[in-house]
Amino acid sequence: MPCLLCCVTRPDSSVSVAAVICERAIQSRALLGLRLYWAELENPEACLAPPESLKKAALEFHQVLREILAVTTPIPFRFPTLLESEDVLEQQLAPDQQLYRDALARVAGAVQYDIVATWADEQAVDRATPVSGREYLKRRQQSAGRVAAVESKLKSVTADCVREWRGRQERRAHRWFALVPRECRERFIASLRAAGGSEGVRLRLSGPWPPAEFVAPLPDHE
Amino acid sequence: MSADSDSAAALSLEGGEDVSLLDILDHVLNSGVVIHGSIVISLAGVDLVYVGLNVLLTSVETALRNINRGPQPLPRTPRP
Repeated sequence: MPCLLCCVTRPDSSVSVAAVICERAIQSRALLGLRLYWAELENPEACLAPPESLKKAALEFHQVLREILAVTTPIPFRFPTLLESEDVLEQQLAPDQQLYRDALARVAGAVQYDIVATWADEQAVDRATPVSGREYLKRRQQSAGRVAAVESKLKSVTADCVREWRGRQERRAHRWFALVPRECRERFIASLRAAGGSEGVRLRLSGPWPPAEFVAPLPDHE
Repeated sequence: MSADSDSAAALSLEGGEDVSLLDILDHVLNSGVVIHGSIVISLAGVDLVYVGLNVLLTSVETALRNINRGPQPLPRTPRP
């Protein structure tokens, strides 16, 4: 029967998941030094093809991850990842097993928070109208400068409660990901709140999420 | 972990805001590991990841026709 993969965790903590996906219970098994969670879907097409069903299944998938994240740190698979059957689980995981183990060791005991920065004037920029090269470079420089300023502030106010930072520039926003030890979560949020806002920038925090952004090692760690 | 901290709660550091459905769907659909050798098909704007699932791929093609969209195999670098 086809399997919808949910996540891998370290093998030592088995979570009994109450949530279901497409009315199917979540199963888990220890293999290759990992613990894998999945749901068997009798008819994936019925569950995942109609957009409304797909959305419902995505939210159920999120609920499964939440339950597991409450107990241990999972590395999620991109939804929806389907395998042909339970028989090929090991075969499909084997090529990257060491990578999963290394990643789980790196993110153990931590969760991910996302911080998205948007700038009021950036939202108002008309990108459809061509600008000169000089103006374009000026805007790029300004944008990089204020991202650096916010990043510096974020890192300084949370210096003692973030294990690792990563970031990504998006079209009209900048997104940072913080890997926060579980025991530091409340302090992390309090530190950000206490830091106050910066003029013109809106920071939005969400989490805790599974630390999916920290699965791949940083280039200098490879 | 407290019940409060267990939830994927969101706050705006300037003002208050709950985590949105969009946040959740964005995370579920756009982050996470893609298994080596996966085949990705975009269905109604959502990338579906299949691994060695020829029978299902045929079924998905049927679904794609039903919603009047052509299959769009996407090149994708396996992650992580």
